[in-house]
Amino acid sequence: MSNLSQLIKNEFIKLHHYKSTWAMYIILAILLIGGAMITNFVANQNMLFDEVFQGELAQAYQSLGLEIPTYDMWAFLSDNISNISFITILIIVVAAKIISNEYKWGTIKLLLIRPAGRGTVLTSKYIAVFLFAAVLILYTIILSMIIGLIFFGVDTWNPTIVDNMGSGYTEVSILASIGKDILFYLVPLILLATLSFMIAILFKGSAMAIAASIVVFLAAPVITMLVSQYEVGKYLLTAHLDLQSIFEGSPLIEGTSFGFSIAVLIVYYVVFMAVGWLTFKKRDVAGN
Amino acid sequence: MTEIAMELKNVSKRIRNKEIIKDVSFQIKQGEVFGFVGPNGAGKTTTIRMMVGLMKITEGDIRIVGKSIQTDYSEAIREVGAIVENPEMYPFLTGRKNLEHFARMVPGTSKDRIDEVVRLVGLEKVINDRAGGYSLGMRQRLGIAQALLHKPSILILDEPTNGLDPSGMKEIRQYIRALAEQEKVSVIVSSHLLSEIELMCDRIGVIKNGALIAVEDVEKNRKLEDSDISEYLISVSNAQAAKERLDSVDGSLFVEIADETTLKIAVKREQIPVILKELLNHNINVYEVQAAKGTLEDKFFDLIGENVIE
Repeated sequence: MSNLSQLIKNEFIKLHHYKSTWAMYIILAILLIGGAMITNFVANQNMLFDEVFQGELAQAYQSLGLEIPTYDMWAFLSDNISNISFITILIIVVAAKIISNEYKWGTIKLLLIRPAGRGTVLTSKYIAVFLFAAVLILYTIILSMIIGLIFFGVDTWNPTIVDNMGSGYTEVSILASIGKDILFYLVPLILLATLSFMIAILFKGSAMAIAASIVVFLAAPVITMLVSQYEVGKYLLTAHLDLQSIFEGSPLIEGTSFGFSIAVLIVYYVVFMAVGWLTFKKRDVAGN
Repeated sequence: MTEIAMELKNVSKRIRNKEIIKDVSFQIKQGEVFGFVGPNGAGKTTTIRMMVGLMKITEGDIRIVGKSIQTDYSEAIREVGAIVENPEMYPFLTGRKNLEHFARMVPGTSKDRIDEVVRLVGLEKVINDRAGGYSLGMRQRLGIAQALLHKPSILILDEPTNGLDPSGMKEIRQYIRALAEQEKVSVIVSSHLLSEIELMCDRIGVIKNGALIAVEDVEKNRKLEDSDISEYLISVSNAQAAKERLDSVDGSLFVEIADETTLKIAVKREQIPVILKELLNHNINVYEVQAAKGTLEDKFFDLIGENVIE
């Protein structure tokens, strides 16, 4: 086990020697500060940007007899959880590069002729990818809170808001709402990073892995629409990446339940992992 | 008997039904420098890749200090330090960071050991520079440092002098000899240049079209070249008995059994009648005496054909 943690440390050190990794931190910070400035300029006093566009939610507040909270740090944080979508794209790139770079430099040979063995080397890389994703998400959360506090202040430390927690709108703690959002944003992140990782192993390069994974990620709704009329459509990965809609009762394809989606996602995940690991463990490492 | 550091037993490699390595067997003794020579594409790198587990062995087995690379991978590979093909390192890390990276991969490799190998390969001055800016010679040395970090019993160097200038080649050569003698490390060096290999190896294995076609003792050949000693093939009634007889008379003679009825012997011309008398007097019949081929290079060309050597 201690050996695995050493290998993960290695991957983290290498990752943080790329300029592109530091660019990710900087871009995220710029996105947050820019977002805060725009929000500060256009936002209403309360949490909803547009009572017409978010009419349903505004109505829910009314019917529950609650006041719409003022826009503060919590609202800013809640808005910026969507940055995990952007982080997903970054992680797709990192997952592909962490494999392909070793082939590009030829260092894969030096990595694999160690007592750790191929499975452990691959596991350390996979864990490093998600550890890095966790770091980026945590960084976004903390930075959002700091920027939110500077721009919008804070009203109460544990406000309640109205959100759909699966069975219509109810009053919930904002922390629960944010936690739920994070979980749903993590679904495509985990699946697509794993897909990118697997393709990078198969092709020993990053171009195909990054392109395919990002297309699946960005075009998921379109792809799902196109195939929704066919029976196979509901077994496609793209139909289940937006788990939030399914959770809230409005799936992209009729007749998919939350449980069915989870099952499909697990099957895809297991296939990606199995293909990646078996290929990496079995394949001869020859010159390329 | 000297201990066996590495043993290849009937190793074969097939890729899509094409036999790339054909039934290769040889042993490497502890503290020995073993040269692995053959034209490009003969299967040197493939064999080396199988030695370090980068390629699966189709048939046969490779044992490193008695442990199979196939069934006991972790234990076996711990004893091996290697450079396969080019000495590739992370270009954006410094030499030292590269070594620290690989040190972390084998538990129990200390900071002191890193300093030790850096001194050993003479990279003290540039170790804190980025490896991407290293010359080929420096990269080669960093590669050797990386391979030595975990104190392996066997060092495998694929084409270590490739692309080096003559002084760099000489340095690496002296360095490899010193390692074998001082640290008791067995070294396997591959090359397509016989002249290079001849200068640093104790024994040489010649590979052609995936088959090991000869294993030559360089020391013996060197002695032959330096003196008026030549090699002769003697046909006798019983080679085993003849060898025992001759060994008991003079232990310093190079006597080998070529097959059941043939002896290979390296002596001065005037010793031949003495040897024949000795054999005949002890009821070992002699049918034929024939002069064998001269230098190692002649043999090498003989074995693989001059035109295929680069």
